[in-house]
Amino acid sequence: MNRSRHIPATRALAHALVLFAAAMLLYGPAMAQGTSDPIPGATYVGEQACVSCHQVEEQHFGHTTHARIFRQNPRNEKERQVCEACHGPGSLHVAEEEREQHADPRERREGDRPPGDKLIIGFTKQWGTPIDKQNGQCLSCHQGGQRLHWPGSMHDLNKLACSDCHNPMARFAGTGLLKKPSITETCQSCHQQQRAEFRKRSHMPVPEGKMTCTDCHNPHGSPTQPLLKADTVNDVCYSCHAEKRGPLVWEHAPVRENCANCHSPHGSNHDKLLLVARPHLCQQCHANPNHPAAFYNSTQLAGNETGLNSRVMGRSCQNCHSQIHGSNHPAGARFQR
Amino acid sequence: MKKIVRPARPQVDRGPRVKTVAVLIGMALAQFQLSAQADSGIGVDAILGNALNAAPINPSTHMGGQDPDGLGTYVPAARTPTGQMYSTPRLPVSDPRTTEGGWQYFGFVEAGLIGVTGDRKAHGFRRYKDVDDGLYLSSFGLDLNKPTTAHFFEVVGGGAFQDDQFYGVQFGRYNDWRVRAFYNETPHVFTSTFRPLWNGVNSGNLTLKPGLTPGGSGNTADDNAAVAAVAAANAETEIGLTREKSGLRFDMYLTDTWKFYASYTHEKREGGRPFAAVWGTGGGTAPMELVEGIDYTTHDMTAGVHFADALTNFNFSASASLFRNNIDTLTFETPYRIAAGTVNGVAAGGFTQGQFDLYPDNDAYNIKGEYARRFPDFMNSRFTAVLSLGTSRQDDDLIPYTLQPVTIAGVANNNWNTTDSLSRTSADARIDTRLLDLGFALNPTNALNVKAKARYYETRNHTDFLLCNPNATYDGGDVYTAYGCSGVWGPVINNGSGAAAKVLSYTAPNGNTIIRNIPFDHRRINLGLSADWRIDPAHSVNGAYEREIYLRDHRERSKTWEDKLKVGYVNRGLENATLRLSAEHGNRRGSTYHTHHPYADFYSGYLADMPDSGNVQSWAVHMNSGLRKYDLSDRRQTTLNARLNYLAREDLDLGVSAQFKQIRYPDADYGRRDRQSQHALNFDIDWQPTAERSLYAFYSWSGGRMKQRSVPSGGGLGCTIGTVTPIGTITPENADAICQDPASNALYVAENVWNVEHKDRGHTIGFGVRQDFGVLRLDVNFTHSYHVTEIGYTLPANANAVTVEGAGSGFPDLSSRLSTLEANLLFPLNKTTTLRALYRHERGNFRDWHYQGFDTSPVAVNAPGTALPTAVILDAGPQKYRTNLFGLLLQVRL
Repeated sequence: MNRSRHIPATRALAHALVLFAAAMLLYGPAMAQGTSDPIPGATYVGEQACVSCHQVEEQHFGHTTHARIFRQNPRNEKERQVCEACHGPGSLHVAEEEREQHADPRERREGDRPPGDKLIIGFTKQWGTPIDKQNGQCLSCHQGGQRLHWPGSMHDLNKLACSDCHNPMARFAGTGLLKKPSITETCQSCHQQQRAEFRKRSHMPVPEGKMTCTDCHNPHGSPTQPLLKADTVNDVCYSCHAEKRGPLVWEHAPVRENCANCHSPHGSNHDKLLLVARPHLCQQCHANPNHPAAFYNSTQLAGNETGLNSRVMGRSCQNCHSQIHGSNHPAGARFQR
Repeated sequence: MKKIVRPARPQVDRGPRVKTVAVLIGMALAQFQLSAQADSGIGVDAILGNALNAAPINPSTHMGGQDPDGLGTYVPAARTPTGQMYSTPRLPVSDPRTTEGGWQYFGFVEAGLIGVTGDRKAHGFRRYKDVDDGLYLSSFGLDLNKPTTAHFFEVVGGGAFQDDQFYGVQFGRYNDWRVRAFYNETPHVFTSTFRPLWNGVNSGNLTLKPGLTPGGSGNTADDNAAVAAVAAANAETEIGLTREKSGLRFDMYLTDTWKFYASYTHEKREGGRPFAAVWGTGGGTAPMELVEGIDYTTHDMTAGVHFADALTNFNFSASASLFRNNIDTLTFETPYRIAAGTVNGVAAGGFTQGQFDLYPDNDAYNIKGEYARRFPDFMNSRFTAVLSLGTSRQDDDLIPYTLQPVTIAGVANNNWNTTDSLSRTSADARIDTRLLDLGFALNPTNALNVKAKARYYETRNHTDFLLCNPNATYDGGDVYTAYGCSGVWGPVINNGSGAAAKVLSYTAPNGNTIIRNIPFDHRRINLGLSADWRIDPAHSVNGAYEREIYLRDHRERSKTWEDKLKVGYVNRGLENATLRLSAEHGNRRGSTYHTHHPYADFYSGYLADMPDSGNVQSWAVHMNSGLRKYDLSDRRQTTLNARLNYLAREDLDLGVSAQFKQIRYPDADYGRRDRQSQHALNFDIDWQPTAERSLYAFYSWSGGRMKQRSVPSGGGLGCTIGTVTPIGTITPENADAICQDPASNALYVAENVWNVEHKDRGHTIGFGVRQDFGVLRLDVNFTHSYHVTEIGYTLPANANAVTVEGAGSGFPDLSSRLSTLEANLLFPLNKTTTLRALYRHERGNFRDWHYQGFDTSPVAVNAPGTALPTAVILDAGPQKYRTNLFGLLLQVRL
């Protein structure tokens, strides 16, 4: 049934959205965003005050990019604060810690957090700083760029904190201030299903250290689902498989539209990352007369004496239709040349 | 877990010692071609490593053991906001050396001896790595920093002189500018059991090895024997390629709010990959595997700017990607003789070779702008817009239809083996793309976020190619002159086909044949509304509705639309756990499904009406009318996701995640149909009792089912005008409807239906132990995976006796088992040297019926072996393997 009547409504919605957005652009000079006060009433105490208690942290932090940037070439006053650039001004925290050291320990119940912790921004589960506040601290410097689409992204919606993936307090990883030694390990600490798929018979060289998740995905947000780094699935694939970009004289429709119509990018129990074993994969779309709709079975496998059929052997359908991604041969309409 | 404040640790100034080494390494690296690394938003190449260095090299901690003080506040580790324990950090270098010029530096080199025993040449072992016996420079790293000026220089590398080697260098000034470069090789072995019949493997010209006769000897049994003999003499040949990629990226702050970047990458890909060619009468006989030579060069260039201030974000990028295939065509000789058939002008044995036109050079360009603007005074709203314009194009010179001087009766000018026979001599193909993505988010309260989005994407294919010969003169009429041609190479199209070339004629059943390329295009529209309600700082619920509309040109359905509903729940407020749940339901529907009409404009039948008598199958039938291609069919899809992170103890994390997905295809009688499921369940344990000891383990299960159905053609009443079928008499007007319908018994006979069900199961387990025994450090990691696919079927009613007796209920199971165990024992010899003993065991076992029987001979031929083979499969398929890798390496601090 043709439901084209839905189009005017959707178009109208799109038009309304565009007009609304345009109106917003003309909304006049917006007020500058006021710098939020991360710790109300607190003032900066300086890095040395922090390090006087946190020597171990300093030992690790000193090797990070953040430390070198803040200490060697800060671009603004905030960066110049080093520890407090992220954790917020520490005067109340310091005062509380000092008071705590002189307090009667019998007054504290077992398991109580040191009260000074509540007076500074922390990035751990134990600390309890709200996620929005944590991420706000990071985004106050790291907004825009590859994080332009972070607000409302899948990870933002699931209330992930920046520090669920990153740990800027030490150089755990060679790159990216991650919480694990690699991007792959960091992502797979939550995405266990993908970890298993990359251990299937056919997989991209992720376990072998030649690819990683962020070659295809932008975990910081993307307008292309699922967090892809390009405008479409195919554009992501073409970034490594440029030969398949073409365009070709003879195109194969599902190939041109979406590589994932036939391939499972994280891994497959079949050859070439295919979703389904051939010839059945091809037969899920092709029921043309003659061989595409034929019934293939185990009596046709090599090793039988008679009744053999090439469509169940080796490359199956691609024994003949070897240019299945498209052909540039004048006689390649059926992807045979 | 205790909060601890510890006294300061001593710093040691060791003075300048290895500046010379640094300079030498830098000079050595300068000889390599360099390349750029990506960021998370743009480009690939986000990692440098190899199988023995799967994580990026980290010069600051490479030789360090775990820090007994942890990260300070919490020992051994704090937890992420979700609740997962951070790892215990490794001790960083505490005493960098300093040069007279004020540079502080530290580094390391790891090298030694490597040995591999077992099936070291097996495809499973070598697929993406390269390890040889002997000296092995495993990895190195060097970090230099001049605090007084904020300049830095870092070099890393590993796997030196192997096919999986990698090197990276970056230098610049912190917070100012940075140059990054890399060189990275990736081997990709497709098979190690290939048996090539040709000289010239990995080139564009395959000539038969001695013992084989181009075009066959005239005795097929002898040819079969000769092919088997030559294959046996060339067994266990490795077919693969190597990607050598390099490049350069420059980043710079222009101002506090503007950043500029530019990058260039160069990739050279060389080698070969298994390929195949059909050969023989009718186009479906004697297909044989070949090797496609690979010699690709790709240049990628990108430049852009980022702008970010408190209200506005803006990105702009321009990119160009130039792909060059240095092997334009693949010409191969065939060892088999085919019948000359109806092709005139070619003597028996005259078809000696065929030719492919391989991937053409192509150029792609893209410009993209992204804009975001906050409106704090208007419900703290935010507007985003993305505009992306791209084009891909190629104008490769085309090659003739055939290499042979064939002639066709009734055609005066038979120039099929020259480019004069082409309607155009170059492809002039182009596809343009456009994307506009708009979003507007409102925060009417601090707890509520509402977002509307609209997205439009389109492709425009400007390619136009006519499959006809403008110079051939056909004596039979002039109906084709509208296309400026009268002959067409087809419908069965290959150099060896006996029915290869033909003149356009409407002689049923092969009269209607493709004569023009189909420029597939689509437009995709997404409109959506979503809301995220933060109930309190620890709880939130979200919901979204989206309609996705596809408009496709020249497909069975011109339009599909899918309504997607999604809800999610996040609970971070549990004392010892974090819970995330989501559910998504999608319902796809579409316009009328046509099985034939979308392609009619591109067939010769477009030029003249279908005849009103005789067999009209080629005009009326594309495929059976009950089939629904799964990318176009009606679909209901429901997905449930759950993820729980549980803090079992202060030193113990448990994680459980699950996904249950069910898909239904309600309108598909044939093709992918009924119900499909994909489920996964994962368990994780992370135990870190002390800084000196940790253990992790995981188990993943996956399972799925998928059903499909089809019905073969043949054995029916035929698609001839006037034939009486159970659903009516075939007329020119209803031939489409009746002949495509299996209920008609015209071409498809419904009772001959066959069904296939795919069942997938997977188990993956892994564990790792790290234990320090004083100065001795041990770590062990193990993974094992087992995946199996069962393919069961029901037989069609017209199955022959041999099939009924021997086919059973399905194919043999497809299965793979892969295991990797790696153990490292590290023993510090002194303050600057550590001995690393490495052991890595790998094994794999594959069962794939596609390659059943090909381990002994590549020639699959029906007994008694005197006819042309059914197929020549030169790849013996994936093989069982078992390897042990031993290494004794020294880690030396520089």
